[in-house]
Amino acid sequence: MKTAKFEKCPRCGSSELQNIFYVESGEPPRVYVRCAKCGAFVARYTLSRYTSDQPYESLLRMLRRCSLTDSRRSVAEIEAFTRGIEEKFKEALRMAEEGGEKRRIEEIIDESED
Amino acid sequence: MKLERASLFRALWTFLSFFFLWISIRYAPGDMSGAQKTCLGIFVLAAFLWVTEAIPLFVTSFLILALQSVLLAPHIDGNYRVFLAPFFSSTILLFLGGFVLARGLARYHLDERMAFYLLDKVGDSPGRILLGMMAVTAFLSMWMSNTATTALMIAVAYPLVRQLEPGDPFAKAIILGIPFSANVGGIGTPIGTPPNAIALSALKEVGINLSFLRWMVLTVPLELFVLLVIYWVLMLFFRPRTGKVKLSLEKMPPPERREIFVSGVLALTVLLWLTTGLHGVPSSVISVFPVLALFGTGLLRREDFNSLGWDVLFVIGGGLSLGVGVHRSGLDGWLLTSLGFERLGFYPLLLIFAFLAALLTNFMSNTSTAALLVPIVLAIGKNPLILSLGIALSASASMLLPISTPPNAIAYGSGLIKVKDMARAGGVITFIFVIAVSTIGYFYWKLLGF
Ligand SMILES: [Zn+2]
Repeated sequence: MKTAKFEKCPRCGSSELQNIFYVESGEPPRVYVRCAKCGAFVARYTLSRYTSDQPYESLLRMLRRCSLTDSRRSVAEIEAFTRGIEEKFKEALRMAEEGGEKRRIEEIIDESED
Repeated sequence: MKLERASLFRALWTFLSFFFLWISIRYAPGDMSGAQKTCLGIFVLAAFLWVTEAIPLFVTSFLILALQSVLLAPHIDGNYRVFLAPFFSSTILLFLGGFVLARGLARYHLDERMAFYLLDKVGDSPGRILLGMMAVTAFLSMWMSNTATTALMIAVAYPLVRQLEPGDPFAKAIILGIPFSANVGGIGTPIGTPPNAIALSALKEVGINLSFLRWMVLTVPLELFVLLVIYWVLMLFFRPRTGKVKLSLEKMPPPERREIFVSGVLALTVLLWLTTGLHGVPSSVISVFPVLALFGTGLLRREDFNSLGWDVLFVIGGGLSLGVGVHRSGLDGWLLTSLGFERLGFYPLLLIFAFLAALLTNFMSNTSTAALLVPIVLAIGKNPLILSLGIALSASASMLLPISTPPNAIAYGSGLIKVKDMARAGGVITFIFVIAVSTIGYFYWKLLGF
């Protein structure tokens, strides 16, 4: 299954949102999403991985606590990581703009797990 | 679409490996015993899976364990536990300690601190900066995984590389110098890189217990020599265009109490490893100390423990387990005799196996290379130390291709080097590396009485 949608404010329906990046030591980093129009709380994300607009440098940070063994797979994964992000971003954007996805986000996550 | 084709190939390779297993058992030469035939089949299957990476390397380890327990054990005395034991042997425990040490360094940014401290002194000529980068990389890689070291040092070098004029070959020298130095740096301590574990274990089997310090005495001079060769080759191939570059190093805040404590624990661990001759506690048991001191105090957490690189340990375990099978079944002796290696003199044998290791390691993992070759060559019964060191060190000569070893893959991911760049410089370096191991190494180890 592949799907994408713009996240919207549950109170006013706006898709102008603000991300608040929050870190507390000992906890995984969190992102709190707030509606830029009416200020309502929209969602909270818990991060397992972060990639900036400089994917190679994000990758280097990730690999600093790593010891890889499978080199053929590493080459493929590193290539996919650095080149794949931009492509996936475009694909997700296109799908969101088409607006075919009507389900709520928790439903999508729930149904994608099986 | 591309992904689907990849998994199709993986399924095909896996199927073929089992086909080879069957062929080997069914059609092996008549002078082989049942145990030898079975072990040959498992050996061929493992080699094929290691080269193709059709399934992850650690999964191959479990497959080796299962096949040896089910197919091979009945041929030799039914005791499958001998194949199980290597997975938590003293060597594995030693490596676990090394992983904890590396995690402590990374978690508290001590690796970064050390790198900045050392690099602060190198000045601004491109040559000195390259040499400084390489030396720091090699030093860190003696204690940390080659992958982590490469990722850290490329991140440190990246700002410098970006300030170079586009097209300055010096960028390639830096980006290649880091993974190459990480690969070579691994040979300098027993815990530096997994092939060392294979050599250490194999030597233990024949009654030679190399201490941590003794390993370093045997390998560090070679490491330094090869580093100089790498430096020389890179400066020759990628002559810098600028006369001056500036290394922009991050300013780090003064260390907190926790960081000082962690450094103390790690320094003490290394000190205890180096002085096993004085206190008599085996180095593998000393590995328990950083585990107790860092996890017990909460300075490292459960998440750190869970992500310690267990797959690497299982890859080593599988390699060691296969070695046990090769030895117990007598496949080692059969291979040596029937391939004609027994008639060769000691030195040609060393040379052939060192080059074979360097060739294989560029197409399969360093650990697997050592795991395939070390057990066979030890059956010759002559000077096991020189042979197993020669092969294990040559297995670190993965300089040819991005797929040769993960550090190369990371460097290649920067997009700053082409495969051709790596192959050209790496080819020359690999060649000199192996020659150095089998000449300088040979005479140096002889000189030390081995
Ligand atoms: Zn709103």
